[in-house]
Amino acid sequence: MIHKILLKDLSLGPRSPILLWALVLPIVLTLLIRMVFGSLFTSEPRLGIVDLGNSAIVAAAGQLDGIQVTFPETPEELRQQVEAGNLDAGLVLEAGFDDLVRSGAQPELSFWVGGESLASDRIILGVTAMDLVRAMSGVGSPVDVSVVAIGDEGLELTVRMLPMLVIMAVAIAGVMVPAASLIEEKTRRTLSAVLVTPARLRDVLVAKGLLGAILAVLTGVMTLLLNSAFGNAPLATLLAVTLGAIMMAEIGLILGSWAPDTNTMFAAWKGGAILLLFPVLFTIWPSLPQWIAKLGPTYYFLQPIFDLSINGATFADVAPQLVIAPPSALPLSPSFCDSEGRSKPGWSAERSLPSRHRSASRGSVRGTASCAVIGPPCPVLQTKSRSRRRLPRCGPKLRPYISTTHWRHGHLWETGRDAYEAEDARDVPNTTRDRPSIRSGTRKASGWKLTGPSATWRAAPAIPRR
Amino acid sequence: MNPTAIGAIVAKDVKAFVRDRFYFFMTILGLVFYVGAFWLLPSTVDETIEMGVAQTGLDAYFDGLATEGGLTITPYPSADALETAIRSGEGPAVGLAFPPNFAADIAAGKQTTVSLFVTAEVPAEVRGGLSSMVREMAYLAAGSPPLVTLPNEKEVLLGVDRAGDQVSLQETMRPLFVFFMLLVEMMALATLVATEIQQRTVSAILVTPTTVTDFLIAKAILGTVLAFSQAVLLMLLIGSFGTNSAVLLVTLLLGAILMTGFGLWAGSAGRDFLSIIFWSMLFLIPLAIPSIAVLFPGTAATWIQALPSWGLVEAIVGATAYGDGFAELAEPLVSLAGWCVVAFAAGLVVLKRRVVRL
Repeated sequence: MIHKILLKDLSLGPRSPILLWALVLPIVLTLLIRMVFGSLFTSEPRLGIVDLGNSAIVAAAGQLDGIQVTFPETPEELRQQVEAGNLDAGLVLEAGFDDLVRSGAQPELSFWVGGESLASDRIILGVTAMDLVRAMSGVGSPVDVSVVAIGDEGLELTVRMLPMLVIMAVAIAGVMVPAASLIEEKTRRTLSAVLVTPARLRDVLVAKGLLGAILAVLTGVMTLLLNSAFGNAPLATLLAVTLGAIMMAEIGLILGSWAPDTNTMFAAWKGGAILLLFPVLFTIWPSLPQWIAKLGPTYYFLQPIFDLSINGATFADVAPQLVIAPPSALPLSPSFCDSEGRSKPGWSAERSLPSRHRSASRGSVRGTASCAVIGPPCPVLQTKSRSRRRLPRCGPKLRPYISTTHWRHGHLWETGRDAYEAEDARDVPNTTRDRPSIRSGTRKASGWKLTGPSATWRAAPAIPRR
Repeated sequence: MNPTAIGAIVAKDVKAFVRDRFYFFMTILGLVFYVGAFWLLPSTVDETIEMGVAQTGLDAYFDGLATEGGLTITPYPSADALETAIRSGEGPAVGLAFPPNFAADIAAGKQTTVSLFVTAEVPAEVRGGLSSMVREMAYLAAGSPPLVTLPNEKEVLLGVDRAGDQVSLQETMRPLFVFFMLLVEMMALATLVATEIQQRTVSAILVTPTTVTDFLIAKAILGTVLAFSQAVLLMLLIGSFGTNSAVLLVTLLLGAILMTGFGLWAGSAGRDFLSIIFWSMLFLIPLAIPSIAVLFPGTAATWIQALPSWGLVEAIVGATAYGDGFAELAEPLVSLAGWCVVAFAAGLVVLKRRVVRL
């Protein structure tokens, strides 16, 4: 049943904007962040060189570290680009320039500086050009420069933003897709229609969760591939992404079960997402106290991903953190029901669904809290009377169902919220509410013989009368 | 045209906008966020390299360097003092330590070593540039003349010299904030239109004396007024109105019309909240590119200049950061106006087709 629901969601998925959004957003985010932060905060000086001869300076310029060197075709084009601010400086090497320098003729250097270039870049490019000429001349430098690095080398901002990209990719697919899918099913009442089949609510939740988790793994992997960040232990990285995807899918199920509509879902996401996203801030700014990041559940899959893909960690290094990830995800599990339909301790997504979807019975349900709705063993409504005008307080054992249509004939009846099946038509109270609107079926002596979806209801074993 | 009907529809839609908690909240939140972010962004550009120097006998050279701009030089008594200051974080991030008899040793033809202290965050180009500078100093100290003749400074500099007067990140982010403000209003309009279509209230409206034209005009007025008023409010709060207020107002009005056109389009195509977000995202990606491109130095590529929002971004930056007037901004304003006509006409056509087919 789970795979059928999953296949249905997958086949209908491409029609959903949020699914496309979840798939497209990681790519767009990666591109935007690489575009904006890749050079915005590390703006390198840009030098253009036009070589009209065959100068050795060109090869040396190509080796410069930290300076973007481009080679326009003509001096006019170079001048235009420098003037427009597309280049910080331009150097034109006339034909025979190298020979003139080596002969000591002191040729004029055609060096242009853009008006919009930073003062610091002007100095750097100016002295670099002079140094290139000196190096080409072959005269040895009378001084050695010893560079003494102080402190640890930091990571680039784009690298430190990798956890943010991963969690955005995993969270949008893992949280939003199942949540939006559940909400759509609820608002369009197709969830109730699904639940009149043998599918249990648990099946629906697991299928939606699987959908979110699969998509989250896909988008997470796609993001890591786009950023060339799969590291030396790809399987361990995949495991960490999978654990994160499961966690996000469970949060998505809770969100989808709780939120009555998409607006509320988005508002809750905007308000609550910080609780999931805040560990990434501590990677972006490593000087912040790192222990705070460990308070967030997402830390236990984000940090392993970061360590595996960037810091070159192995599976053994990140195993302690990965071990913590499943326990932090388990309490969110929607399928915390045993085979008898009883719920186990822990917050389940199913509990947060509205009661009409969670359980058909609104009376005094004895035994267990509802977990699964349809199929044996179901919660049993114990009633005391057989009043034909009001809800029975006692009498037949009724099997609760959920129905979107209003049945009240034969073996099936509805109280306005929930539908029930009785073994005998006489047990059905003759309430005036919710007149039957059966669309298919044939009348029989004992009531209605239902066709269509009802066939599966009748297939369920009847509960013997007292 | 029925002005009373148009007024009534606009008034109804304004009420619906205010009642839509999501968009109303997003508008207020966006306004607060953009204004806060704007004033938190750096309003100046740091274009100098702060450097500590421990040297003897090179005062004249470094005094000359300090006057050229781009370098802030702090003297230190010794290499140890300089290194200690850099390690403690109290000093600059870069330091040059010359040996005590540097000039004399070089002049005597001795090979010497100069230490360049750098912290981890110092970029490679600064390390390379300062190494080159030390080598050039050594050549000069050794009596080696420059190998080339440097041209006149005026001949070297191309374009307007903005040294010390660079456009700050605060200035360049201004169009992006305006763009996102207009985007929220575009989505709000799209939602109003989509709701009207999906709930078939438009059919109810059209059985009254109100015509389709009245309906379209009302939606267009609503979208433009909403977007324009929010954009003007944002610009007021971030202090953008100065000498070129007229240019800026015209630019914002055209921007509002442009986004209204796209809003009508998204509203006609979208079925619900999610599909409107999807359609808005489709418009957002190309429209946001000029706002992001302006963060980079230099002129935008030709294909970026062909995008609808390029004129809006260029005109805002030109009017607020460079003080340009109508004459200087004629090209982006004409481009923006042209796209306004296209987007608005397309939006109206799509909406009209949806309405008449109901």
